[in-house]
Amino acid sequence: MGGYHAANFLFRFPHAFGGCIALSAVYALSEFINDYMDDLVYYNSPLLFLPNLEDPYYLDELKRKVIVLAVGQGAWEEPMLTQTRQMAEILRQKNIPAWIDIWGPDVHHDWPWWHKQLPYFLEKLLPTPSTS
Amino acid sequence: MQVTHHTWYSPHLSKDMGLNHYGQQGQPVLAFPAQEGNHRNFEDFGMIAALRPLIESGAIQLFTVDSVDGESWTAKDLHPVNAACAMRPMYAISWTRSYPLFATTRTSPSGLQG
Repeated sequence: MGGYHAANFLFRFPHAFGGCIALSAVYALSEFINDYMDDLVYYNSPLLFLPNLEDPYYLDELKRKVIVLAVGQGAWEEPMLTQTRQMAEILRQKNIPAWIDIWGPDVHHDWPWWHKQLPYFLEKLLPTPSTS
Repeated sequence: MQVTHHTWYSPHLSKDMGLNHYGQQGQPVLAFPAQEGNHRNFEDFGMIAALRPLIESGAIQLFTVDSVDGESWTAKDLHPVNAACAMRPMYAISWTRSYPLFATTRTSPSGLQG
């Protein structure tokens, strides 16, 4: 759930972070608690609260962030793949810039791919000289 | 690579919480573990090794924290309302304990900072 927490923290507290890199993340909690819903669940589900977010403070903050949502299309990547695509559409509608990166069918929900992805995104995003 | 371990007792969770700080300079990055993982998760599963060049060159410094997923969202024996409530201290703790460490390391504005 690391990607979920990274994204949830950014979307809830955008003033505190420069951005987020969410790898193979869910953006709602239905996988864990099915259809249970209350205000805590709602406000910890970017997939649910972002479409209704109209507060200009939050929207302006989020538009200045570096947002990377990445996911593979290989084994064990559902429902993360579906939810990443849903987030892409929500962010597009909200005019919040984001780098949505859908990796290939060989990219599984597992550490070897995250080992490739995290340095890849950091090196692309950091202004400091690449070390590779 | 410099690794600094922090630990504190959380009265909210009635247990020790841990945090590892890898590196000394560069863009601070707060990292959350995979499901039900802890602050050693990135190291145990090879992510620190994958990030070693970026950490050792001073491009980034990484803060890894504990999750309480297993006591909240993914707890099989909890009613969802209790799971939701159990999650709150984690965010409060991540915020009040990890963030000051994270924030004090902020350097000049860069691509990942607001």
